[in-house]
Amino acid sequence: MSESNTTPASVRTDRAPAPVRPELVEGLVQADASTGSARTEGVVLDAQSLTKHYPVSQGFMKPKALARALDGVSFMLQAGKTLAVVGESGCGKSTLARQITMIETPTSGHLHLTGVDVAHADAATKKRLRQEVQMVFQNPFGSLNPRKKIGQALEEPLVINTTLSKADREDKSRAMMARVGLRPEHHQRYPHMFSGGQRQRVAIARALMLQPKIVVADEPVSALDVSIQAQVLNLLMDLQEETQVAYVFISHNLAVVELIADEVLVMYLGKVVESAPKRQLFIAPRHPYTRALLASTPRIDKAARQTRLVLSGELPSPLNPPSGCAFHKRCPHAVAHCSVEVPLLEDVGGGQWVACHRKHEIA
Amino acid sequence: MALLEVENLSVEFGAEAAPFKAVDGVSLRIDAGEVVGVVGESGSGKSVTALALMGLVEAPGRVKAQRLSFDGRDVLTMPERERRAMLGSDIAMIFQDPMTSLNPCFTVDYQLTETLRIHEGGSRRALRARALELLRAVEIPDAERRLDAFPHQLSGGMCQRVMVAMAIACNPRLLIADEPTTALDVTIQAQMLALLLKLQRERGMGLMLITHDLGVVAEVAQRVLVMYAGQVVETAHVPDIFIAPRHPYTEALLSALPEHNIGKRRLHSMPGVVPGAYDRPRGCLLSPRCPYVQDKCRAERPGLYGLEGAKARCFFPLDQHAGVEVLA
Repeated sequence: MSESNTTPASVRTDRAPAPVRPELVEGLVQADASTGSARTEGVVLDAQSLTKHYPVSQGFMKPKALARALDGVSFMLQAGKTLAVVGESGCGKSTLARQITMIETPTSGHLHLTGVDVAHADAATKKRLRQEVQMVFQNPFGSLNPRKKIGQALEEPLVINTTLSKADREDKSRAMMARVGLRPEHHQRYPHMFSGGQRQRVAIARALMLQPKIVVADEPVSALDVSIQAQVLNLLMDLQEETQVAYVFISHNLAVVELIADEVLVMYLGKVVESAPKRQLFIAPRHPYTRALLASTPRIDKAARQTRLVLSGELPSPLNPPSGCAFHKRCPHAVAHCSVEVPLLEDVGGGQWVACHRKHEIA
Repeated sequence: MALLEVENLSVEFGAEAAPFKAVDGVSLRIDAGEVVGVVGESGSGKSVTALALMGLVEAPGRVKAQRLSFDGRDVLTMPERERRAMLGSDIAMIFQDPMTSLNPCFTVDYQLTETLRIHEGGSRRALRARALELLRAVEIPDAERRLDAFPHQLSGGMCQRVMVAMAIACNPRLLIADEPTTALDVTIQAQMLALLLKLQRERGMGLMLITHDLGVVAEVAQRVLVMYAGQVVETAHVPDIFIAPRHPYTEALLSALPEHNIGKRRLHSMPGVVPGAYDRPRGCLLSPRCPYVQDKCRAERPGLYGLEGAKARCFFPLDQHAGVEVLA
C-alpha cells in the first residue's frame, strides 16, 4: 500500500501534456467553466491511487474478508490519446473500468474527470460527468437490449440527457450510424438481425451519442473475428482522430494493444506492475510479468517470437494475496526479498515505471 | 497410412430441397503424430466439421461423406456399437468452453472416471487411481484434493486441464481440440498449449487443433486448413502458408492481424462479412469481398486446385496474380 503514497505525484510530473488541437476539442466540450483548466492541459482523466476493496462473505458468523480488487492505481489520460490496460482476468481491469465510469465509488483515492473531482461533485455535476464517460462492453450480444430497435438504443441517451425533439434525435442517431458505417435502413432493425461486428459498431455509436470525452472500452474486439476485429479497430481509431475522444482500452490481447495504445498500464492483482509509453513497453519490457505476457502471445513471425517463457501457476486470489510482491510465486527471477517487501512503482527513465525489486538486475 | 481420412464431408441443415451446407465438401487427412491446424472465422464450419467427425451432429443435421475412415476402418458403414466404442476412446475431443462443458452437478472424479468406466471398466478404487494419475499427467497441482472438487471450485484453466485429462483418459490416437485456449488468459493459454503438445508428442497422437488464432497455428501446427463459409479454401504446410499464402482470404486474414500492422496508421481490413445461410453468392464464396475478383469468380465456384499438401480454392491463386501487388 505504500506505493500509492509515493508514486502519483511523480507520475503526474513525468508526463507532458500532449498538444491539443483546440478546434477539435471545441466541438466536444459542452461549455462549462469547471472544465477550463483540464482543457488547457488536455488531461481528461486523472486517477490517483484509486482503490477498491470489496467485502466478501466468508460464511455465516465469520468476519468478512476484503478482496483488494484495485489497489492504488494512478494514471493520467489526455484527450485524443489511448491508455491500454493489460492483464489477466481477475487483475482488476474491469473494476478499474467501473470506477472510471462512476458505476461504483472507489474505496479511496481520487478521480478527476475533465478536471472535476468526482468524490466532491454534487448530483447535478455527477450527472453531467456521466455523460462525459461512456462505455463499450466486451460482448455485443449481451450489451444491446434485444427488444429495442437500433434507432431507439442510440436515441435513449439523448432522451435521458437532452431536451432535443424527436426529429432532432433521429437526425443525430442517423448521422452517428453513418459515421460508424451502418446503413440508414438499420435504424429500424433489432439487434438479432446484426452480426457481431455490426453490433459492436452499434455499441460504439451508442457510446459516442453524447459526445463523451472518455470512452472506456472493455475488451471491445475480443469477441470478434480477425477480419471484423480489424474493421472495428480502424473505426475506433478513425473516430478518435475525428473527435479527440480519449480511450481507456482494456484488453488482454497485446497485439491489439501494440497497435492502438499510446500508453500501457500492466496490472497484476489490482496493482500496476509496469506503466510505460507503448513503444518503450514493447521494445524494452522491464517487469518479469510484462515479459511473460509478451512471450506468451502466440506470434506468426518467427523473428517476433520470443523464447517461450511459460509461467507456472495462476493468478492468486485477491482475498489472500501472497506476501511481498504479488507476483513472486510465479516469477522466474524471484529472490527471498521479493516475498517480504512490496516493490514500489519506480521511474526507470523514458516514462517507464516498474514495480520490481530486481528491475536493474534483470534489465 | 493416414490415421484419419475424410473425403467430401458435408453437413447440411434445413430442408432437403434447399439445404444449408454448414460444411461443404471438406476433405482432410491426419497422420499419427501430426498436428493439423484448422483456422477460420466463426461460421466457417470448423466446429461442425469436428462434431461431424465425432458423430455429434444430431438430426435434423445431415452428415454425408464419400469416405470417412479412421485407422483404415470405415466409420460410415461401421455398426453403431463399434462406432460408439471408438468415439471417446480412440478419437477424443476437447471442447471450447471448459466452464460449460463440465457438468456442474458432479465431481471431477466422477466425470473423469465415467469415460473410463464406460470404455474400460474396473473397480472403483482402480478407476480413482487412474483418475489421479490423469490429473497428474495434465499437471494439476494438489491433484488428490481436486478429485473431489466440483467444477465451480476450479478456475477456467484448471477446468480445461480436467477436460484434457478426460479426453486422454482412454489413450486416444486422435485428439480433436476445438478452440482449447480461446477462453483462457494468455499465460494460461501458453501453459495449455505446452501441455497439449507435450501429451501429443509423448503419446504420438494425431492432433486436430481448431482455432481462430493464426499465431497459435504458426507456433504448433505442421499443416493447416483454412476454412471459409463451410469450405476448405486453402491447405498448406506451416510455415509456407504464412510466408506465401495462395488464397486471397488467407492473405486477408494474415494482413488483418494487428501484429502485421504495427507502425501503420490503419489495419488492412477486408470489407464485408462471412456470408450467412441466405446470402451465399452464386460464384466463389469470397467473390463479394475479394480484392482480386474477376468475372469468372462471380459466375462459377472454383474447386480446390494445386498439388497435394498445397491447394487453394481459387481460379487465380496469388502466385499467379502477375502484376498485382501483394498486400502486407
